[in-house]
Amino acid sequence: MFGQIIIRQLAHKWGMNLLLWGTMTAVVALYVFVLNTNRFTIRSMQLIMKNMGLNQFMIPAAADPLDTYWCTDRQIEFPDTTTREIAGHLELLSKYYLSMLQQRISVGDRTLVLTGIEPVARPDETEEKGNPVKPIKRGTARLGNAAAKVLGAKKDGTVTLLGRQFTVAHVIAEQGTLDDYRVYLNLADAQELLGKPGRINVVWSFECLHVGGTLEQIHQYQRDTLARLRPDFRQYNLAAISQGRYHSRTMTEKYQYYLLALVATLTVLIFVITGLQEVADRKYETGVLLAHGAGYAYLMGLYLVKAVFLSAVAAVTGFVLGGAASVYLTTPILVTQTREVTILWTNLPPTLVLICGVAAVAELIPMIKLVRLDPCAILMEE
Amino acid sequence: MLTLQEVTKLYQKDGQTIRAVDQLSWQVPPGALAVVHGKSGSGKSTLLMMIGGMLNPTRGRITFHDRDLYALSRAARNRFRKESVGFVFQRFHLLPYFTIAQNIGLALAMKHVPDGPDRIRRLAAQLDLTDRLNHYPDELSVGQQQRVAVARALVGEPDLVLADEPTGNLDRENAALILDQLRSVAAAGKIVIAATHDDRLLAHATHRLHLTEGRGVAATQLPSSMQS
Ligand SMILES: Nc1ncnc2c1ncn2[C@@H]1O[C@H](COP(=O)(O)OP(=O)(O)O)[C@@H](O)[C@H]1O
Ligand SMILES: [Mg+2]
Repeated sequence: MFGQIIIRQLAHKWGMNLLLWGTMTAVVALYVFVLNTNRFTIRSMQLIMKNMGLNQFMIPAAADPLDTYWCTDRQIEFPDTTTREIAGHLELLSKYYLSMLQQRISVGDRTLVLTGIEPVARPDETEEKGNPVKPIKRGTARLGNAAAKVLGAKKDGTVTLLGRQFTVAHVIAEQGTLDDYRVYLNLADAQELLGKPGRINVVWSFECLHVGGTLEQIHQYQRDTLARLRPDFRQYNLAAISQGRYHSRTMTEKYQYYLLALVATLTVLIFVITGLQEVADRKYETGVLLAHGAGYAYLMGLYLVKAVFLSAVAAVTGFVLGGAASVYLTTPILVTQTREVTILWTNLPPTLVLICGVAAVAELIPMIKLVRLDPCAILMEE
Repeated sequence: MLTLQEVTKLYQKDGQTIRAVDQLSWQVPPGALAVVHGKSGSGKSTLLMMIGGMLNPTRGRITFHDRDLYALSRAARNRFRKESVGFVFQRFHLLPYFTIAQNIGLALAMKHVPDGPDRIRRLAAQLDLTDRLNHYPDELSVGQQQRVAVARALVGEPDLVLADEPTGNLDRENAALILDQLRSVAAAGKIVIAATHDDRLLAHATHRLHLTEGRGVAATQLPSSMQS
């Protein structure tokens, strides 16, 4: 009978219960989405800072460094001769430079970054020898680890990119960064493929000569010098960008506790308000069941089991939806994807316990109203 | 035997004390079809609730088969209601999400009685509800709902049936069906107490209690239907 009453009641007030379920699902989904996305982003930020610490890039003053960082189509292009011009300025402290034309391309439903590169050295350095980036032979490709997987390519095999075949010269070991999604080509090949002869959109500079002072002082000197020599260009530090993002993410992580409190508060509010309404709506049922010998434990059980059931269903659906959203709403190239975002099933039990527990506790307030009902007054109504 | 000794029920409302039932003593033996009658507000419903173990009297004692109802623990009183009492409420209070069969079977389900379906069908046939068993309360007429409420009270074969206006607002045919049921339950040795202002019921009463502002005048009589 107990179960029957709960099931019939759920079906009878299906609109209300659907709304309750939907709201709770949305609350849980939002929570899980933020939790999931954040967790992966923080991890990838840590990796980026570790791997890319001191490298700097130069782009036109009008360009937004975040567009370069994310490799968006708002990047600004300029002639590839610029790199050699900049390298000619010996006041700058970098020894090695790299011309780069980077652009997102679609391969099936995935996104990769086509990256044409050409190393450039300062005139007083031995050409290429110390450059940390080795030149790429024309007609060959160097694949980031994830890119190789997407393309189904192996070393010495071939890949077709935008209609042209390339020999895979090398598959780079997994870095755990955005670079895993890059397909490196000789700059000239990339320019031809993308129909942008003589154009690039980033100049990288490596290996700052250490002339004393703090890292910050060196960066400042570089920025000032470049501003004087090439006012149309700006230099950015990748680490600074990732660090900024990392800070904002860790802030969000702190805010997760506030988010958690918000989710709990919303759950309490939802169950208290709907619960009070429900106790009022079901007062005749309460009277009738009392008259038939049910105790208050039985009556409260009806409400609590229903609340826990609904919140459990909502916790599971919300968890799956929020997890799925964090997987599908982040495009594969986002930094969040340096490690594949997945649904963290280990988080399901705590989420379930949390939501059901909060719902059950919240339901206690309507239960106070329940025991304070006057069943006789209800049953004696004329 | 149902015995009321000096039973008083006071309500407090807006700082005023209302004497709903006032020092009432009354005895009803098994086999009785007792009718409590009186004007609206005379305390009939309050009395039924107290007899049914739902409402503590302010003073006095109510015993049923030598059990002092309000000396029992709360759990024992719940059990008393479950096992020994069948209520018919003035406004029926059928559960809207249960079918007629499930509504009638409520008392049985609460008691986990195994032969429920048979009893429900038998009673439904006697109250002319057979073809309505799979309907929901809001699909029934008032008379039919009233009969369902009576069936629900009787299906558990309780020792004490408490009916508040069981024939109120009913046509002659419906009232007769219900009256027949109550009479046969009383004839089987149970106690039936009906609160009403309906004279048709009064005529069949073995015991009467007339209430005026909570004060009672009891009378025992042969039902006029049995008088020659
Ligand atoms: N819960 C209550 N609080 C205050 N007064 C009540 C309450 N229930 C009933 N009464 C009053 O008690 C008196 C008897 O009511 P009731 O038992 O319903 O009479 P009847 O059923 O004969 O109409 C009435 O004056 C009514 O207003
Ligand atoms: Mg009444």
